[in-house]
Amino acid sequence: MTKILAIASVAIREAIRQRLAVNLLVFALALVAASLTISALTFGEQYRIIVDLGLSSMELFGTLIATFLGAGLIARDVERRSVYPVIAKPVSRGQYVVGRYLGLLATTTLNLLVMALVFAAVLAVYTGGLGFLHETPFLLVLSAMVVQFAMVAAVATFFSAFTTTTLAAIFTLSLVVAGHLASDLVRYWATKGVWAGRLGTALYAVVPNLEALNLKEAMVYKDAVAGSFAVTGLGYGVAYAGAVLAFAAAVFGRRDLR
Amino acid sequence: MRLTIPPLLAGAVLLALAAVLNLELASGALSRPYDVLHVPAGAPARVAALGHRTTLSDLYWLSTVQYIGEPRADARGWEKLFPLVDLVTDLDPRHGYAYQTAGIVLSAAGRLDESDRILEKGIEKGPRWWTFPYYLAFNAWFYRGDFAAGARWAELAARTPGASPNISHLAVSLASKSGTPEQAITLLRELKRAVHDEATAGRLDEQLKLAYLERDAQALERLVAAFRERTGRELRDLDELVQAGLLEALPPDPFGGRYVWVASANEVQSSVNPFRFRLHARRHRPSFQYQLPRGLTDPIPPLLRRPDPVPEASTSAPWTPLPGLETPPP
Repeated sequence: MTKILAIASVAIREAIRQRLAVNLLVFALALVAASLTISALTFGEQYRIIVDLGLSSMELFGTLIATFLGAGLIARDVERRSVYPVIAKPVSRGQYVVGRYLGLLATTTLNLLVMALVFAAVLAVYTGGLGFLHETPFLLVLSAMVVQFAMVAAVATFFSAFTTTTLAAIFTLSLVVAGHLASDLVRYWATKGVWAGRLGTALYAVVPNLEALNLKEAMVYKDAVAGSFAVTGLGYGVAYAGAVLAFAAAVFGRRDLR
Repeated sequence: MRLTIPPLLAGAVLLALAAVLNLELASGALSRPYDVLHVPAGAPARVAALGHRTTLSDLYWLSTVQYIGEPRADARGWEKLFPLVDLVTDLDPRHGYAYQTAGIVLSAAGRLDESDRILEKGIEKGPRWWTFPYYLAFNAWFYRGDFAAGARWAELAARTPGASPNISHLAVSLASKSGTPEQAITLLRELKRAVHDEATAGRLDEQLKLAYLERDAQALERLVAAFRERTGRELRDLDELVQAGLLEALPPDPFGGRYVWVASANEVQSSVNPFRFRLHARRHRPSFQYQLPRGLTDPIPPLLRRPDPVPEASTSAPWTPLPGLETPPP
């Protein structure tokens, strides 16, 4: 465990040093803060504009940070050959993958917390208090985003384990898009015959169903979220991320690094 | 140092040139009323939103707000308003304010069918807002003279949570085909309380003026009948009502003109707006317009042409009184 945590802390330091993540974070913070100004352009429901723009910015930039940092997580180490001194030590490849992933997860969560603080400040200014913390499923929405980023980071780590940084980023973004389209596509394929329906269902099970963790609408309309979501929704995301990470460890374990 | 000055100068010159060209482009764009070139269909837009449907809906809503708020909107036309709000509500069916605003603005622009469609979509897919059926009742009754449909929608509005008790009275009144301009005024004032923006409130004010016009015209016509009875002759001018002591002074025309007596039509009209409440069959455009057509010097004759009245309004569905309101209130 100590070895894994040591590798994770190195991954966090690396991520903080990378300008890409910092730039994305600054841009996201600017957008979240700007939602207050943009909402003045509408009439009627300003709250929904602030919440929509704020949460979408957080989700979009959080996903990009997870994708681009995750794509280089292992692939860049292999390209720079900095992975060799690590795996030459008594550290298994599985521990290396998990350590790197946990470092990435800590980075994306830290980024999200910074964005969430700014978002909460904007909401507090608009609503004139912190009442929204009780009236909306704010904390659950943030938890769902943490799990979403964990899923995206796991997918990026998986591709990073056997391909280049660029390809891993492309593959991950493709899967993120597929993850948002999955529920629409499975319905469409079901109308195209039995085998198409089965194929659609199989693909639906494989791609990350990011829509299952999309609680933005509940935040906009102050809907109550069922208590079972903590088990089914968040549980699904954690299980999926764990599974993909296990595959990443298996693939990297068999990779020929000569 | 010498090496950096030429590129800096070149950069400054090119930036100035770009700024001039950009301002030229902007002046061309700003000289036209705000319009939307293309509105995508709702179904593909929902898929393309990739989990950000409410955000995409908001972005199109901001575009809709600009479209509605454009000062030259009447010159531009309102063709894109329905597709825009249809898209906004396809992306986010719970966007209640979009249905309400579009219903009011489309109706005020004379696009009654589109107003009805978006309000009916709001009832089917949107939040349970009493304003949707309430405004449908107004469209049916005030613009189409369809008491039966107006009564059905008013009943639905009265049954919706949060509705004012006045709506039940209106429902009963419409069912008995005795809707009055005062009720139209009350109805519009109720709606105005549910509106939070100036653009939509302005559209409701325009329609309130129509209701005031109808109320004043009906009152004046009653006085004309009294004048006939008293003098045994036809009225030549509304001023005669004042001279005969039946009226202290003529009420002001809400549209800025003056009330005139049109003997050939046997009714009172505004000199600048031909609107009068009619009972007639369903048609797409209401029989009114807000502004005096350009170049019209004689305000009366061309505006007086009106569709032939249909004696009986639609009776397509039977009216069921509201529970507890079987008899009209006094």
